[in-house]
Amino acid sequence: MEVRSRDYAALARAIIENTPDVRKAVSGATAAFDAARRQAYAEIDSEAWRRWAEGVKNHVLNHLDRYLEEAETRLLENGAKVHWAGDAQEARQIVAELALARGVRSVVKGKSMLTEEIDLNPALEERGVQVYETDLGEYILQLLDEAPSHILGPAIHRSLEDVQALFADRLGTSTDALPDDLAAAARSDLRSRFQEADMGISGGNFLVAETGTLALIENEGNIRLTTSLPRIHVALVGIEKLLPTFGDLAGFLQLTARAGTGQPIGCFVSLIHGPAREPGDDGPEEVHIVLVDNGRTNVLADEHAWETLRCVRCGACLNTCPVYKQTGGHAYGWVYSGPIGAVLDPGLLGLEQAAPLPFASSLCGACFEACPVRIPIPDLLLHWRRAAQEMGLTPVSERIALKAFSAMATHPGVYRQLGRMVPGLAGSAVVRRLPVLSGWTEYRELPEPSPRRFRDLWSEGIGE
Amino acid sequence: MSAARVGTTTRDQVLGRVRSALAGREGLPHPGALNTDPDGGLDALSSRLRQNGARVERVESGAAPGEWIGHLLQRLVPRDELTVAVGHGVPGRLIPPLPTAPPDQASVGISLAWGAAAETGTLVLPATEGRRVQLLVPVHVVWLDEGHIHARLQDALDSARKRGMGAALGLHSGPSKSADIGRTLVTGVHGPGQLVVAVL
Amino acid sequence: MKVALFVTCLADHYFAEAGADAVRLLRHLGCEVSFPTAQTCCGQPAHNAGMAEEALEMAKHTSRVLEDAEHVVVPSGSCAAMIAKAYPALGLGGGLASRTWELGAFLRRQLGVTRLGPGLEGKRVAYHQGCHALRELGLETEPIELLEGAGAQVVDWPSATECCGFGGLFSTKMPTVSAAMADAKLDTLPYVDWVVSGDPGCLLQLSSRARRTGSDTRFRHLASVLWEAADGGA
Repeated sequence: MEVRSRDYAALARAIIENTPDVRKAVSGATAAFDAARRQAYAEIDSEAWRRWAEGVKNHVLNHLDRYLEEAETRLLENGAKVHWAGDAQEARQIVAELALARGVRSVVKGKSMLTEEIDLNPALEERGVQVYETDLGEYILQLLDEAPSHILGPAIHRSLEDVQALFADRLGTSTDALPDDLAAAARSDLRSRFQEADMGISGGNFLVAETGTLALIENEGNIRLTTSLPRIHVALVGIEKLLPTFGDLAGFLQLTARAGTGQPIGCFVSLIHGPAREPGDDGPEEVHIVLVDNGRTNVLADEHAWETLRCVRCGACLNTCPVYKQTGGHAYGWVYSGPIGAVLDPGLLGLEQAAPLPFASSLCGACFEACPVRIPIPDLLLHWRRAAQEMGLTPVSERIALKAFSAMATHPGVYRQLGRMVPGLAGSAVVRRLPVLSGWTEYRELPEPSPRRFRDLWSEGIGE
Repeated sequence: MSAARVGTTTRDQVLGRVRSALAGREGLPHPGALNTDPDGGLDALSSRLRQNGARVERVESGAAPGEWIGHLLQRLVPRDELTVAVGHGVPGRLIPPLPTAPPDQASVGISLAWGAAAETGTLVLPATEGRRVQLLVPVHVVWLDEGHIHARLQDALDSARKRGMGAALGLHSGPSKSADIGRTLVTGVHGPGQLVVAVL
Repeated sequence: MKVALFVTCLADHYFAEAGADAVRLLRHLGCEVSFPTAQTCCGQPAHNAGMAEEALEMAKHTSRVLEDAEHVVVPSGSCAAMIAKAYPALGLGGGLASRTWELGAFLRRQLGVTRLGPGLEGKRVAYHQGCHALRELGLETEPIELLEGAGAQVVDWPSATECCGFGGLFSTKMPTVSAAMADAKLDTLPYVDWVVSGDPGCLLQLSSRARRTGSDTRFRHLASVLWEAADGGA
């Protein structure tokens, strides 16, 4: 996926002004998810659960090398193969070469943000391998040739009417087909894909080091099918997805579901250890786990940003963010959007590519309250903003203005003198056209200063 | 980024980067177990499963389970479509006297759960009975012994671990559902759209 | 009780009368109010823009100006949060953080005020919860209790706790998104006499967007409304 994060402001503007239905669809969907999460948190001691999850993730990240080695040992004992990919290109190569070596002609895929991050699909398609997205939202996007807009509901920016038109065109359903009929058409289309595919590709929600258990959470069942029917299963897993012990699993399965969709648990959870070896198991002959770095070790090395790696990709922050809901994910210009995207993308891509994103926030703090692993997103936004200033990635005029204001504000006499001018500037045409103010006046009236400042009223004596 | 140095695998490079990232960092010990204390028992389990759209029925006392489930299925599925695929290891007495078909053609799949967790309304299913029986059928029947209901999800998982988890376990907590089409809830894409839990 | 008012740069210039009402209200409640005139800006705009050095300089200045105050009262949730939460994180000690209060919090928690007077009887009011006041200072109910205690009907506003889109410089750096956030709140506003907030920035954002879209909804600062509640009968 081409990185367009530098264009955040323009992309956001275009989405809000030109496609208002997107704002409406995203606002509606996120409001429902967020309300469900609040209810689900209220049913448990959410503070205790969140602190526990934060603690477990901090521990595993702080000893990540040990746990990665343990996970690998267990997986190998289970009969799985383990591959290591330093970056996106290596990851693509591993999967593509495996497909080539095994004569893979078609692949079914479960939803995986990591496979988007590494641009996996084109690498397979250009080698003549057919790739079929099976998550219903991703399936819709594949037909539209669009990128996902949200971690859990990739197609939330698309309305029922959009899907009716799309399916009428591609699957021959009628243009006023009901959702159940559209779903049946998708099920039917994909059923044969599942059964004929040579390889199933998934991501991974968690990898338990103690037992070599790969856990995948879903509601549709397409991931269970993707990881069961084809003879080869390949799972791409970011190195930060580890959990230390099997005893941590139930808590994370529940907390992730509550945070993301408000459910006690996803409808289907796959716990995968390796290829089918016992009689009766009709699962894959081969299971490959690809452990992917792709910039995560850089983030881990940063003394502030490493906390971002606790992320369990639940989407709770997206669902509660008042900024995200105005545009959906496409404005952020890359795979990870919303509050987590704003702090993760600079770490994975570098600030030069992602510089506007930490500023795409009013610092309201709602994201931190929602996050099941208590990532201090507002603090991290400030961290990246400071870095952006130091690297000269912000407008010079803004830095000059803030330096000037600061100089004034640390010299009270100057502040008082210059402040005297404010009331008189209200009607000034010149002032209205100042660049920083044109950002205000494009959408809002210019507020009028008080005729006398407070400090002037004070010096005259404030009576009843 | 990962120019291969002679004798250094990607594995070594990644682990090396992790180690140098963590150099000098302190402890952060594991916080211990998350202790939850949910309600256990069939009522709590049934409540969760029903909330998720599953059907939970207890075998009538004195009834032969196989026949009983056969009658129930006849009320759910039109007669001329009613065929069953049975998971390996499902005991004969739990199998309805109905025509059989392979999992990719049958209208009903019959499974035997290893256990369940009331905390989340979850059934633990082994891969060894055949995964297709659990996934390809429109109606999924899962037999569950009431004595195998745990209160906590972690306990159900630990019990499965003791038994030997094998290549895979499926944790099923309801029928397949999605809200990806204009935010309307649809079922049966792609796993079973109906889940019937039959309690012994 | 001796109180120093930290009026904030925005209120000094845009909500002067509300600042004056805060003084009147505090005196009415028996406080001796001072105004250290060397005060300027708490440094939040620079802090939030990532200009760490400049923010620290303004914070140090503000700390010095307020160091002798027994209690500091601030008619702005975001500025109060800056002093109470960010200053300690910036290494500024001296206990200023624990002596600094947002206005509504001071009235409810420190002075124990429940009923200011009958002056708001019959008024329908929507309360906008400023993000810093709500999430950093934990002020969910205090302002509403004060308003209801004075006879106002505080209406149910579905988006009451959502961010208004001000965010300081965010409002001009990302103007389209900022305006859309204001719209998301204004479009769900029930019919009210006033929209009230304890945050000057939020009031500027919401009122100026409302006027641009042709609405004549009135926006008032909490200090002025509470003074009217207390003085209303007089």
